Amino acid sequence: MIEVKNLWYIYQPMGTVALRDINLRIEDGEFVAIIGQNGSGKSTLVKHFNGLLKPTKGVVLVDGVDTRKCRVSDLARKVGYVFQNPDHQIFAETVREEMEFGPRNLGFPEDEIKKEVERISKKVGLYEYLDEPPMSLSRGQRQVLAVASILTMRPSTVIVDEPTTGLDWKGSIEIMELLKDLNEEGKTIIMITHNMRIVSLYAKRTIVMFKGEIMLDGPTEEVFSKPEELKRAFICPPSNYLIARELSKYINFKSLTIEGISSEIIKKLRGEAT
Amino acid sequence: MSLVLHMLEMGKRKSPIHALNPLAKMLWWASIIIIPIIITNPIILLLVTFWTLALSAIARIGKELVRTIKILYPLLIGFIVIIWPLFYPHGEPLLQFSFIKVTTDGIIYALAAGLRIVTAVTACLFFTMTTDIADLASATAQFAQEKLHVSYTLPFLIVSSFKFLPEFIATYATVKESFMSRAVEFEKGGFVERIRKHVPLFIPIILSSLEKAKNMTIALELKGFRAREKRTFYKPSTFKGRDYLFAFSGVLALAICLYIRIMTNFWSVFFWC
Repeated sequence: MIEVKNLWYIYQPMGTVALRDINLRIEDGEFVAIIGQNGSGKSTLVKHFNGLLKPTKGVVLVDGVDTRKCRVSDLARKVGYVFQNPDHQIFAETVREEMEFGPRNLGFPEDEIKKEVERISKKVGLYEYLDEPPMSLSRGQRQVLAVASILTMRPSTVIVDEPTTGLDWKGSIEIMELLKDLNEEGKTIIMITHNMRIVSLYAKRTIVMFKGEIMLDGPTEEVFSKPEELKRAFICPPSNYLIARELSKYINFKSLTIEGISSEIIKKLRGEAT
Repeated sequence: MSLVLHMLEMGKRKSPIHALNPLAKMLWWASIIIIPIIITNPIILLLVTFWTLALSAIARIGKELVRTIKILYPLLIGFIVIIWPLFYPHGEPLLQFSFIKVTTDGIIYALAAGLRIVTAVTACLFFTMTTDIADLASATAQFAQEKLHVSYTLPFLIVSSFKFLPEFIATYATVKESFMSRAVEFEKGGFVERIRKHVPLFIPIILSSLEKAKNMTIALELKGFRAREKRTFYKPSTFKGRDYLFAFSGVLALAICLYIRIMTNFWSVFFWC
């Protein structure tokens, strides 16, 4: 569980206030999306969860432990952070070595590392590439490798910064399905993204950030049902939410997913009661 | 690293000083940083530092400059004032441990040396915080083409490396953070151990730089780089009266200091400085 209490963060020496009095609680097993325009404080916030940044004021607790008292390497056991560009972390000669790097730094026994690398690589579809150079993989596969290299450290929470950037729809869905599977296995997923369609499809909870503050926080459907407030944060909800809003005078939508909206419209057209 | 990035970003602000020609500012800066090399007199050095601080206030960077100074100066001056007297043999000894002798002259000399560093560093910070690197690059290239008749390619090679600097620093910071997230402890271990831990960082940094260079080459080709021997500039760099005045003020200050240094040693803290 991650708990944030009255968190302020000021970038020094210029004194830029990046986070203002953030209060937040993320329970184990949640799938959270953090959205907001560039510079709204999304990355600054999540970098507090694995200790890359320490609070200027306030407290961040990971499983009850104050991050100010922990090193990043200690928190890496609990919170994994996948950076936006996989090429910023890939350095090894083979996929296997890349995946072994994190757990080796944590001091896992060698036989355990080998087993874990094989298990994770099978799960993410990289098993047949284990002895290949990472740079020979496609961009989508390198993104999966970046996630896999974090998973071998067995963190209970995985933070992914813009996991679908630079990927086509197929690649985006593949990486998101992997995150969904991990979430169903019990891992907490925290994702930063600008892709609202992806948010509406996968995130159970959405946090909207604006100018270093949390503007909205709640179930994704509820957050996307507030287009006026989202507009202030320069966010446009996916089209299904906009359509549902326009038709809400005529139809009482029970679900705002594409499937839910479609079925309600079809019922209305057939003259069935909604 | 983020400090350097912030300083480079500040060069894009708007103020009467930011609006000056970057080459005029460079000439002023080059003159000012020579002063602490030839002069050790604390009064002159303090005057030059206060002059730079006054210009920073006009440039509306005073607050940020003072914040940076608060971090940098205690480190710089502290190091010099602590280390220098230990190796300065002249003067009456105040304390002596074996062959290490701390003298009054040594302490005064250390303070003077600290002040020289302060003058030079303040001028460097002022120049960085008031000059947009892209504008400086463009103005230098234009000057090289029009006044020195050097092909644009050569200055472009030099200035594009400056343009890459902020991106390079940002990439280094991100790559380092991504390694820290995989439990690499850069602060742990001896000097050699720390260097060894940094080696893997170079692979993503170099690959990322090569990728940027490749993209830049394509962009240049697409925009007809070297299509003509002489090129025009998006922001033509011109020297106005205020630019000449600003550059001249720096050169004049240097000339006065040179005169003082040559004509008299009275103003020096010590004759052998």
